[in-house]
Amino acid sequence: MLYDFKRGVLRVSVLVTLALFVLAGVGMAYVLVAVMATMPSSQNQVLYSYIDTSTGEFKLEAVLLDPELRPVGGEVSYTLGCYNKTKLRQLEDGLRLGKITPEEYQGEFEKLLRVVDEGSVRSASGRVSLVKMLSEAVSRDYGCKLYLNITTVYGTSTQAVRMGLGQEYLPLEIGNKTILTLVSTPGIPSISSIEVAGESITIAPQPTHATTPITVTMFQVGELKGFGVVSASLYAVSYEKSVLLIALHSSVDTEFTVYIERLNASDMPSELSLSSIEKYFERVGVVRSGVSIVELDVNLLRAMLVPVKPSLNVVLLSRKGNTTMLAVARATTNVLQTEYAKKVISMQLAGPTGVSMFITFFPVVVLYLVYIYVAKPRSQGALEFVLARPITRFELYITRLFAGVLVVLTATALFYTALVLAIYFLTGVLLDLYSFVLLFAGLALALIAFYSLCYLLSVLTSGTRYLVASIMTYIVFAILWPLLVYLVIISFKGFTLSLAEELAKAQYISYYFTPLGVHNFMQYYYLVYVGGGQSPAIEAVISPWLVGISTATWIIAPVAIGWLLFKKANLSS
Amino acid sequence: MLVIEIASVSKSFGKVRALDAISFAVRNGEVVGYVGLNGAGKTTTIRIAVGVLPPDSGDVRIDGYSVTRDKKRASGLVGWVPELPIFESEFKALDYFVYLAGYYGLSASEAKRLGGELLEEFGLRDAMNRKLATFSQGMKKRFALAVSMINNPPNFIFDEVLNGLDPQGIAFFRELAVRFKKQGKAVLFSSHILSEVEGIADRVVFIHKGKIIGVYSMEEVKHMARPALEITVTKLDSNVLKLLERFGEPYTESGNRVLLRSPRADSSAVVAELVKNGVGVLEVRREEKSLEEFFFSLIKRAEGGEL
Repeated sequence: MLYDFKRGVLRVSVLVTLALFVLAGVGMAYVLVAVMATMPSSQNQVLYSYIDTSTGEFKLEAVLLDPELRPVGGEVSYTLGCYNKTKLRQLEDGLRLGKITPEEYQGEFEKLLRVVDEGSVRSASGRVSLVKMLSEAVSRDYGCKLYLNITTVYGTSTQAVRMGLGQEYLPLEIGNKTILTLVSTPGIPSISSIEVAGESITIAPQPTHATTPITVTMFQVGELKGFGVVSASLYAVSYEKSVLLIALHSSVDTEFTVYIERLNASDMPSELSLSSIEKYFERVGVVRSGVSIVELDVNLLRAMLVPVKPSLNVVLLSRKGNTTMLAVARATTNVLQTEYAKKVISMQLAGPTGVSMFITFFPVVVLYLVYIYVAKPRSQGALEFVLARPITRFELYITRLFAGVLVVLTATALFYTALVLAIYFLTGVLLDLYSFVLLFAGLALALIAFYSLCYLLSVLTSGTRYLVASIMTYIVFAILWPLLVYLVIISFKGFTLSLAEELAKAQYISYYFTPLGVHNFMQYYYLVYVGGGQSPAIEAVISPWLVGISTATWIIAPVAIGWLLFKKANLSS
Repeated sequence: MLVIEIASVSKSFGKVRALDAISFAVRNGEVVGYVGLNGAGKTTTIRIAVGVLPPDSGDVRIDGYSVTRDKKRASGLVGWVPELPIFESEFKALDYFVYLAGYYGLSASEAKRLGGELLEEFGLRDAMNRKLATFSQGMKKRFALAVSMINNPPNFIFDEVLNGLDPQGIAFFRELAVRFKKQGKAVLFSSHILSEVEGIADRVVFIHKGKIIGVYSMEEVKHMARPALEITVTKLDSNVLKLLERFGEPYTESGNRVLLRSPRADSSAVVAELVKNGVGVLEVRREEKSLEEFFFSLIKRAEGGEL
């Protein structure tokens, strides 16, 4: 059997078919990623930017993150908009004093914003860095906002350039210089300023119940004090992995050592001596001005994805000569939805632009396989010469059947392997074995059932008549089938409120009666597995037993009937 | 021992009865000519004999193995060169040889080596890596022969093998049949032309409209095909036959008609002698019978018999 596959079946046309399936797999991955990348969805990123009002230097640094907070390649396009703060105040006063109507205010308010710079940066690694001199001076009396459009493989986030939107720069006064700074980390960040410190740290006590800090309030701080600002977000990514995302601006270019409160630290004093910091805190990394991802070897979670502590103190400490600079942040433990990236991709895979696209295309390949293995040689009379060898008629029938089944299995495996590997290389997400098996079984069994049906047709007819018959069969099962179901349901039930459900139910029932149905059932089980549950009405019509019986019948019955006919068939034209 | 034994084989295609209880046998070291008009049932008999067409009834045994019940063994013991060999023509010759050799249990490397040898032996050395679709009829027959020789079987069936061949090809297959016979193989050699099997066949089986109409040794065939005088006399008795024996071999046909085979004298001399002895001669006809005429006379007789 395997021998027949190797010597008789691996012909050029079959090799082309296999190559086609690999190409389809890779192509599918690209389609999937493209669909996902163009879908609007919020993107995670760590962002750091400043504008030096004295020199006009503008810096933008960012690291784009995938749903599991790993850097991911993409493109950032930014718009820097600035406005005159004095004018804004006058406008607000006008509104307050009733000199202008709210409508007038709104109109004037939007007109305040002036685009100072825009551009875009692409990065394959996900780390974006840009420094330039602004062509237009930004005076210290100006406020600025940053608007970002970000595209990664996981989607596109856009922000309209409007006065009321965007991320606000905060002015940092150092001596007589004003630096507009912007630090931002995703999730629930904690923002604190960098101060020159003595020999002790003041620690805020652990709140008795978890509070949700309102991040917006931080941006309402009119002016920053101290030597810099830091935004930190603490994430529990999984039971094994946690990360601390940090965006830091320090007016003094120096290294900060990052400490995080030990999980088992109890009775922490509110005043902590710097010398005893290691007693309560663990040193986890070193950061400088800019964006940083600090990976933590700590599990912040208890069972059921509940954080051990709702928030943890994070200390950034720099000692340079006699100067000690310090920032203390109480970072909320953000819990990441586990395997979110995989879920996004899995849902895509099961969606209409996913693998189901190929269930309408692959049967064509299958009917062609039967044509070259049986229908064509039979119509020519070439099977007789093979049959004159020391094999029985049954062996001839079954070897060519299994040859095709092996090609279908190989092609499907190649398709999914190519797909899974391409997705892995494009997104870093590797599908688990169970998903792979479900998807593979669905497609492979459906194609084998269709192969079996075509095999029967090749016994009943041959040559061009086989092609006509098999193409008709293909059109009915792969294309007309859902339409027929719609036709029947709508004409019998009419347009009712429960139409959508009725249609879905009828579709699934109809799948028992098509050779390609098993693919839809496996798709269903796969959807349930990845968490996209279906309605109870659909659940009610799907029984694993019926799925098994239907599939087995579609595979075995045509082959068996075919054999009864083939046994006595005249194989000469 | 009977090695290709066709036993009461019948086959119908739809309403057409293609074979009607055909029985004959081919022995070791014997070439049997299988002669019939086109459409007589030769190819159908042969397709059943090599196991590619199931008979409606009856059986064929190759060295004792039934092609219906023990097909695998039987097929291994018989080689077949069809009239119009058809292969999966998108294959290259050697590749297809290697594929088919697998059914004889040969490994790919063994098959490749043997294929090289056999294809070269049968004059296809330069065509080994050409697609079968590009082969001429003669080349296809040689290829079919090479494949049949994979296990050098003790029985061989050639179906209209000389059809459409050039003189060189015809000579090749005739010599091959004789060579096989000398090697002790049983050879069935079909043709629609009796003279094609002359000089090869030891016996000839005649088939017409699905029925065997005669089995003769080549000697008999040649003998019967010699010229003869058909003489109608006024009164036929032993005396007349005695007279005629001097001139050849007389056979009484019907009534007062006698057939003088292999006449050693002119018809006028025979008539003169008869008349001299007081035998009235009503009619004398000289029959110049060729092999084909003999064949047709057999058919005529069979059809007459059917009427």
